[in-house]
Amino acid sequence: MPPAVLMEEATFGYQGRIVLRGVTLSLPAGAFVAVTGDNGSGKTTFLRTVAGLTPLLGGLFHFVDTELTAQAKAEAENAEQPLFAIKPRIGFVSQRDKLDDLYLFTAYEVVCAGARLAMSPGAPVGAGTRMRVWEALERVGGTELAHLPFAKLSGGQRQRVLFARALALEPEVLVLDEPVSGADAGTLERVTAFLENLRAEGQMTVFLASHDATLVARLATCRLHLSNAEVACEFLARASGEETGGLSHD
Amino acid sequence: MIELFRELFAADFLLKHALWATLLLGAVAPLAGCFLLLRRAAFLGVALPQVSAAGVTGGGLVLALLTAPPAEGEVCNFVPIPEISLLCATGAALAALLLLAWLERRSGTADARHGVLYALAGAGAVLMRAANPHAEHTFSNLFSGDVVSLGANDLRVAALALVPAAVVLVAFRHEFLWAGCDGDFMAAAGRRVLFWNALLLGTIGVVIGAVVYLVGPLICFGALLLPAVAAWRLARRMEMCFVFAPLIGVVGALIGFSVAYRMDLPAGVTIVAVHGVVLCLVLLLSVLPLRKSAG
Repeated sequence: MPPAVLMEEATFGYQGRIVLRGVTLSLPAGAFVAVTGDNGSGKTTFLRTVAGLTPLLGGLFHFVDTELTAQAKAEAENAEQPLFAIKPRIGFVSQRDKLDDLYLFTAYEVVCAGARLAMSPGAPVGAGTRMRVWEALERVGGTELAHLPFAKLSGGQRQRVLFARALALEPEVLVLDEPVSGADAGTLERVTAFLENLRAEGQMTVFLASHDATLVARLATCRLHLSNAEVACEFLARASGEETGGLSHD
Repeated sequence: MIELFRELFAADFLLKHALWATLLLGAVAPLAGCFLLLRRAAFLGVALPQVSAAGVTGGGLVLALLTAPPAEGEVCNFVPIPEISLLCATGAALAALLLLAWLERRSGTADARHGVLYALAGAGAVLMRAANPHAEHTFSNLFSGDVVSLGANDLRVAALALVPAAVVLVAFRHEFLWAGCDGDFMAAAGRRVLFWNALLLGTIGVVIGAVVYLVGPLICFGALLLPAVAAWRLARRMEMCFVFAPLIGVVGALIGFSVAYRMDLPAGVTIVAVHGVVLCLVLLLSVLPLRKSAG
């Protein structure tokens, strides 16, 4: 079960500079959260904080295990830090689709790096891990790219391989920072279809930053709009009857 | 040629410790060099050996000042302790890495910092050597890269540092590669990138310290970088780079040592020259239409 998200008076920023303040909201487990806003509104800072790459400047931000017993939840209610807060495995796909060309990785090796992060450091790759890598490549339609040098792939192909790398990690939370910005129509359609499948499976809580209103309307179960250092939250009704409410925000 | 190799690897070969020490550094130094190259920090591979050399001369100066200088006409009986020299070489490299990591948070470019470090360490090493009354007796090998004078104790001390360092570099190469290549992805997945970067740089510091202790800074940066660059040019995949680099390092060291032994040349610089020839051949090969560029 993927984690839910709790934020209380959370302040986001970097190097002491506040970008978003007083964010209080809760997001259900398995939500597909679209993060929208103008350039410079703080989308990347928000997502980097969600991914644990940038520290929270104030307040609380927790991923929460929703499968805990009622007793554990009752015990947690009076605790300063929620006892049911967890540190999930997070897959991060950034805007940048290039790795330094000096690293002579094939697409398979890039995806395998994701699978390795689910293993102990230095452990050898076994048959199960290799299978996970091929499955991840297959899910993004990238098996034919496996033995090509990553540096030689097109932007769209590289982005698909990076999606596969995040999947091979078997994450509980997926953070996507404008992963299809500047993509051609074909790539956009493939990635959208892939993300729709992810949402339908409901195995991950997904955060997606995007300027593309059509993409957001097609995928998101919840939209966070960032503007003037504040976050407006809106749950979006989905035809398939997914969750549609239960949220507070500042 | 076979006769020569038979002589070199004979149990009673006079320079056998020097040969094995050369092969050991030929195998391990290029592994560290690969990581420096991939992190676009090749100049660090030039600056750090110089810092290590300054560490050895600094440690030697302190020890020498605690020992009475030889009277005129008297034979110098000052003997440097290998473990202390190795400790000074490695300690200086690690201290320099810590300083560079601290300076990283401040303004200025990495290249400029490495250049300043190189210049100051080079000058410091020469000055400390000049101030040392036992210098001629003690540190002549450090700056000339005289491999043949290495003995059993040098080999033992260097192996104690280089073998574990090689094991760490090989066992955790994936962690080191991805911490440098895409630290954000690794950190989001819950791995401590700072720890892996610190472990890598610490291990490189140990390798550089040990190699400088053995053969001095000139041979050290030759052994670090030349086989690594040649391996990178030859390899089509990352794993091949980590196979080719030590292979080129060892074969180059063996050929260089053999040529120096047969032609009575200084062994250290001959090895660097052989590595240079190998690199030129690889570069030539890579511009021929037989092979696609690796990227």
